[in-house]
Amino acid sequence: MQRHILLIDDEEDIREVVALSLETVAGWRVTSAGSGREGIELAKKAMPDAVLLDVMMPGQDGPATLRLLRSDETTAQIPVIFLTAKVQSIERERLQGAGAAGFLAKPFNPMTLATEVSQILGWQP
Amino acid sequence: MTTEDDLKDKLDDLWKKALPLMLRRLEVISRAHRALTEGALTDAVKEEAAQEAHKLAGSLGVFGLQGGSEAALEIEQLLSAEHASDKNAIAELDKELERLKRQVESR
Repeated sequence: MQRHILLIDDEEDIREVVALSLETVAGWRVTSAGSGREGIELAKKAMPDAVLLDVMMPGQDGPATLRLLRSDETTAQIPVIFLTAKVQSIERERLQGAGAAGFLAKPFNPMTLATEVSQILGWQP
Repeated sequence: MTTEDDLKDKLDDLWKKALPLMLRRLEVISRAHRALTEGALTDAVKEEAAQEAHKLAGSLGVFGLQGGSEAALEIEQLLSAEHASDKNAIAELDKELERLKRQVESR
């Protein structure tokens, strides 16, 4: 089944690798946004199956973006997975409290990224 | 061609495209390192270098440079510590910066 993923990350190289990985390995469609604000607009229009959201971004960061997604009824139910280089337990607890479905550590393995996303969201491979 | 080979080829192409950005990030860290050894590191330069190290930590590993990500993470933590100017911290930064450079050059 082809999935549609919205990736929100301010780093262009990461956006390109994630898109390459999910499109090549899983055949999913990936839409990318370079900021939280742009990502929220795209989420409302495109209604993706899931959002991969970078935690540390300038301006509106990942947790702030998640709060806004949750506060809008059109995007409130879209599962969100945080992408973060910092996955210490204190950080995890703080972010999980914000309503994320799970975490993916940066750097990730491009070959297994789609599998990890599927496992977090309970999707069939 | 297997999916893995296809992905590897595409990542190789993407690495060539991303390399100038990686080298710019490395230069920001090297500049902060020089300023630190000369006793002239400002908070702004230190913060910028820590941010660039954070970005390298997140991206080098996806291109197969796990050691580069580890070195960049160490550098981020060293630059973010209160005692970044301590002799021991500077020596550790020297070591990790060399490891980071070697990793980037190795690909």
